[in-house]
Amino acid sequence: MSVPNILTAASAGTKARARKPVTRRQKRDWVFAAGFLAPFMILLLVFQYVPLVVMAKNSVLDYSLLNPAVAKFVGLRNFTDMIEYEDAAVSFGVTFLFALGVVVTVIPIAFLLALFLNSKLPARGLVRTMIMLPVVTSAVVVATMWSFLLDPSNGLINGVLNLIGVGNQPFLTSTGQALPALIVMTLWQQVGFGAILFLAGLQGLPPELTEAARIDGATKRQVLWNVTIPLLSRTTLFVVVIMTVFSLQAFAPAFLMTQGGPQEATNLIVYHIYNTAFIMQQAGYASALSVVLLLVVLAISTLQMALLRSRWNY
Amino acid sequence: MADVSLKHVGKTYENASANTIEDLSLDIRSGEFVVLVGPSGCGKSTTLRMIAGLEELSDGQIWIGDRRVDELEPRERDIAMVFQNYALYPHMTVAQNMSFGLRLAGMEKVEIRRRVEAAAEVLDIGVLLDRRPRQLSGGQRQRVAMGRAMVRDPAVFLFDEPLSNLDAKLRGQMRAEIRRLHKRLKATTIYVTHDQVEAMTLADRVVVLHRGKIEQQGTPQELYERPATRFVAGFIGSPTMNFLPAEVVMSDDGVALKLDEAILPAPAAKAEGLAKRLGQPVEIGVRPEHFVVDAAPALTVTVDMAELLGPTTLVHFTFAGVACSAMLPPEHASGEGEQQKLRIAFDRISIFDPATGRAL
Repeated sequence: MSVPNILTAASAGTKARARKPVTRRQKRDWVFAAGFLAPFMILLLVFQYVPLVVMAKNSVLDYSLLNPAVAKFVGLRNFTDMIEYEDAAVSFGVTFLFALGVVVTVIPIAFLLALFLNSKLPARGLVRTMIMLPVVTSAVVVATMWSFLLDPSNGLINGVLNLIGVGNQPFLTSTGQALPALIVMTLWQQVGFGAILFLAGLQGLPPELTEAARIDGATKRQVLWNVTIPLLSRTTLFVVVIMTVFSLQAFAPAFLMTQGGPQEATNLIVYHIYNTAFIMQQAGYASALSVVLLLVVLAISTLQMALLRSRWNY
Repeated sequence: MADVSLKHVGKTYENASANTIEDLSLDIRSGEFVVLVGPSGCGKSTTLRMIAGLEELSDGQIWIGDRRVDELEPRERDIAMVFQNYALYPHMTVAQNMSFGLRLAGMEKVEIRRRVEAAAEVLDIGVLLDRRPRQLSGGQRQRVAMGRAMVRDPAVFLFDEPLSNLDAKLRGQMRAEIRRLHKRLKATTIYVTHDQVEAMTLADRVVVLHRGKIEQQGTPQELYERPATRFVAGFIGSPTMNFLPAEVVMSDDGVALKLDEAILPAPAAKAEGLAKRLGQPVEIGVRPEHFVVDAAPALTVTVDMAELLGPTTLVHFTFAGVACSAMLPPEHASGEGEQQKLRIAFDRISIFDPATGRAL
């Protein structure tokens, strides 16, 4: 009988500690903290988390946006349909290719630009403005502008190609050229952002490390290869993930420049989700596609966190 | 090992109005341990970085051995440098850090391993070779940085305030270790510090820099006993020298110095020079240990504060309107508010011209 008594006494003690009165200062701090957090938290809830829950719920329904009230529970059929029909696989495939193309071109070019911006060479200010301008320009404006540039008959790029004797290219209407054209446009738009991230990384490196390497006998190229690039691995990983996530979510180029064509060659997944929901009126299936996309992006972010915390934590 | 020679070296930064380094000439003998010392901004680190090739010269030349090196890249100068924050490559193990320069030079793996292991044994870091820098303590990082310099067997070692990030105890240990290493390797070493204790304990020769110029150079003892300027006298020595205003007067016993109300005979060695300055003010420098407790005192002062330091007591008092300190045997030191009878060991004092700050 003594054991329960001891337990009761112990739990009473814990409760007594837990009931320690909240001071006026603590209350005031709580009110202030809640006040500062509220605007952001409300927006986050209304525009991020609530739609996410709704999306997850809708992914197991079959309904049309014209009459959402008539929704039928279909379990995981939307997900099994994704495997059964090719559209999702094709669209995800196109999107991964697009993301791969963007990442493998943006990373080295952004890095080289950052090296240039970090040097003492002339015209750095001009180059910085030039590469940042596309970043701050609306994706719609950029896509429209590139549509004009790539126009098969009147486009500036084809004009130049004609002048040098290459001849007109069907950039946005050729199955072989449409996706590379979108990748080039995205590269042009995003390389500045990547360069600024790399520049921040470069400027965060202690100068003594490169100085030590120079004294150790390294040439500029050896310093770059043996010290700068390895030490920028966290930045590089960050840029890779940002660019991958951005590319996986790209919509404007497909919507404005190619409408996913020709023959689905540029049918990026977000554009495909949009078409499925709003044109084909299969909102449940579109929600299921969105859930899968979310999981893919989450998986990449998780991988990033794991790598940042372990391997490259110097 | 090689001589190092700085010939009329100057360094001006674009944004600075005055020269950072002005017409600095310095010859360092092969195998010598030279310490550049001075307060922040005196140009000591800039001088070292110019020798290393990390800063360009605005004027002058630098020679290492029989080669002019000021136009050469750091890698072509045959030097090794230990940085203040160690500058270890965080993505490499200790062994990789130490062997980086050798690998770049294309040395054979067997020889690299031999050198790294030999240096690791000397520095007692053999068990750390597979660790990353972030897994090491400050003292261990310091040893690795020294090891990285040692394995290259360079003509000149450069140290840029290498002990300033360590705690006092470790600093003392590492000081002794650096001195021991230098005796063993006999390499030409240029060492920068703002800590005069490091300068005094390590150097064969101390070079005191002030506002980009050499204020005085000599052995630690020369600098301590015969400072050329008031700046050097104040910078070298801890606790610092006391500076007292005085006037040169003629007494019955010959040339004397009037200190507050007291008239004290001038040191014999300096009497002749002082005779030319009769009636003029001078400043006398007295090291704290050159105040002596005496039964027939020349001065009687009131103690403001007494600090027991163990073997000695540092007695603070005000004399001639100046805050002074005297280092006395604890058994003879008076307590706070009490009278202390003192004599100045006049044969040990320094005398300065108050206008120029130069020693007379």
